[in-house]
Amino acid sequence: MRRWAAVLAVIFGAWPAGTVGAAKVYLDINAPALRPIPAAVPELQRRSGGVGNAHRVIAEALRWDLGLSGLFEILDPAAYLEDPQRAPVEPTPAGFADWFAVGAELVVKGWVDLRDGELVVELGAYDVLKRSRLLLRRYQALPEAARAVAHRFANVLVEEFTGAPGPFGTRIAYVVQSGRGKELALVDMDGHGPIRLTRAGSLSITPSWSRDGRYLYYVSYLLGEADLYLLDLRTGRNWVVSRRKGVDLGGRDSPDGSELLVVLSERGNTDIYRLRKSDRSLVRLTRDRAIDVAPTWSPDGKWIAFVSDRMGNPHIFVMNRQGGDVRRLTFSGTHNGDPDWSPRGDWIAFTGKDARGTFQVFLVDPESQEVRQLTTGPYDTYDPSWSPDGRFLAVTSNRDGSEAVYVFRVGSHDFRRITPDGERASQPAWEPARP
Amino acid sequence: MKGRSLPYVVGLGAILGFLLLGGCAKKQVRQEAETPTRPSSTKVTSVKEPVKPAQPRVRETKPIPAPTPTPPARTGAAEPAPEKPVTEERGLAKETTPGLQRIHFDFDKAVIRPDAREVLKQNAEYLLANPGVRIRIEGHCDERGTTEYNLALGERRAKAAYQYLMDLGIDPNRMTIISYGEEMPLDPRHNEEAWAKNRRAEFVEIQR
Repeated sequence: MRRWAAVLAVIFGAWPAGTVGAAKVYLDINAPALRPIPAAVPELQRRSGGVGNAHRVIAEALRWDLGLSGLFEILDPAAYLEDPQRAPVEPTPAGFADWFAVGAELVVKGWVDLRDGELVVELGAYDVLKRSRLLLRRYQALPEAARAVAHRFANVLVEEFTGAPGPFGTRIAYVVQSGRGKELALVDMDGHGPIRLTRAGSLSITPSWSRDGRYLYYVSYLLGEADLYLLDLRTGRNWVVSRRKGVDLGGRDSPDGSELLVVLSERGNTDIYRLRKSDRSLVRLTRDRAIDVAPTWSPDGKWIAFVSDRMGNPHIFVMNRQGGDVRRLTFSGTHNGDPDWSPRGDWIAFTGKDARGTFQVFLVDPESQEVRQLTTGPYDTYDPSWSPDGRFLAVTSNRDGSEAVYVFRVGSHDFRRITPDGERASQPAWEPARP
Repeated sequence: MKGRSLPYVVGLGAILGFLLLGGCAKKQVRQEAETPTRPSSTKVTSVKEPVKPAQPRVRETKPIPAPTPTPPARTGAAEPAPEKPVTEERGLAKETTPGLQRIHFDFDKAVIRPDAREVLKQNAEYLLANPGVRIRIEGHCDERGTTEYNLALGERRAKAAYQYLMDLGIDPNRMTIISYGEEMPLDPRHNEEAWAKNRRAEFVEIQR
């Protein structure tokens, strides 16, 4: 059914009237033939001067989110005919005619007021072709959370069309160069509000979220060598998770949150272990002399994908949670790594070196071993991390010269830089869906 | 012929589309009934979503220092990490101490090259002549690889140098190893020349 909707749109060249509102006909935003719906998002009507810039901030955040979603093509606000501060918020027949005239098939409108020091925001989505309202929501928020209101509405609207909410309003942890060292940082997925999480003057790398979104596992050289730490995002306090001879890497939380995948080299070379949190006991999962690193859980917790060079070059493998049933997943290329298993379970994203010697992001189907290349170009793109809804990826790329973090929808080439200019950023880790 | 068949194809497509859309339209009815359709002048009093402030965010919360730190429950953490004011770099790589020389590796390899063997022999001579000196061997990679793999590869390189020095008679108790993966390049540029420099092992004298 999903595919049909997309195919129909292509066959008829125009969005079939009514499909805009056909919430039960879900769209697959990763389908290659999806035609985005032309949408207008004017600034909100300001009902009191106290709201400051919120009427614009919310509209801008909505445009960013809805444009990235792939469902909508946001029309240039300069072309809109009506004055949002004068026209009625709920479109009149004449209002709908104006939106039709600018080519919009969907319009998102609303108002914002300030009551008792809080923003009250009402947002509606309207089907221009059917001249009807699809959605109406009202929110109340502290003035500094205006963007969060936009993200929540964007998620509701995306859910209306696709059956699953978008990832908007979630956060991405990453690593930023600081002098000779590296520190952890955090940014909203739309690039707003970047903050430093550590100021240790050391190398702090490879952040990975706990399932509840409260902690980050990471590797740091704080005590001299690569050990595994935990950062409590609520208190800012750091904890030692594993500090053994050799490297202590990994820190990938199991889907039920009871176990952690770690990579230890105390027995001579890197192997993957399962660490049970309750009694800190270890189960060794790999026992060869090769490099075994970068484990990632399947969403059901039954399988673990990882990187090994046991057959020569580093490739992606999968094993069960006991370390058995080992299967090789990738066969082409000379360097594949950084696997991240999609929260939807259907694909494993990874970094691979292509025929031209650049690093690109690929997907592999863990069942069929089908491989898809997602990125191309003369620059490198790597470190893929799935969004909580499994439809977007955060990556590191040097496409603009130096390393920065970008997000994009799988299937699109709309790469959006989310880390600040002048910051050398890498190793993104997208916040997981809350349990 | 071509000109004639085209209208038929379009016509068929339209009929097919009509049938399919008709199928979809039935399903829309229920959804439309659920959607509020009151005119704009009416104030919306009931909305599906409860009115509540947006989710609190991490950066809005101030760090709360706990007087007696206890490990957070169910995270696998053991002990609090040391909290010192940042006055200097901690745990970062150092360059090879004078008297010793660094060695280089081929791409994605941890094998000691013939040129590196000569260097290691000289390093061994220095260490034999200076029995009080203890060293840390730092393994490094170029940026042409994935992060965690390179941390493992850097360790393999440091270990290869360690093994070679041990074979030349250096007491293993005088040596430790560490890997920095690709995190601390000697040459920050992104070209073959820089990568060749960065695939290396450094030999750093450590104080007891």
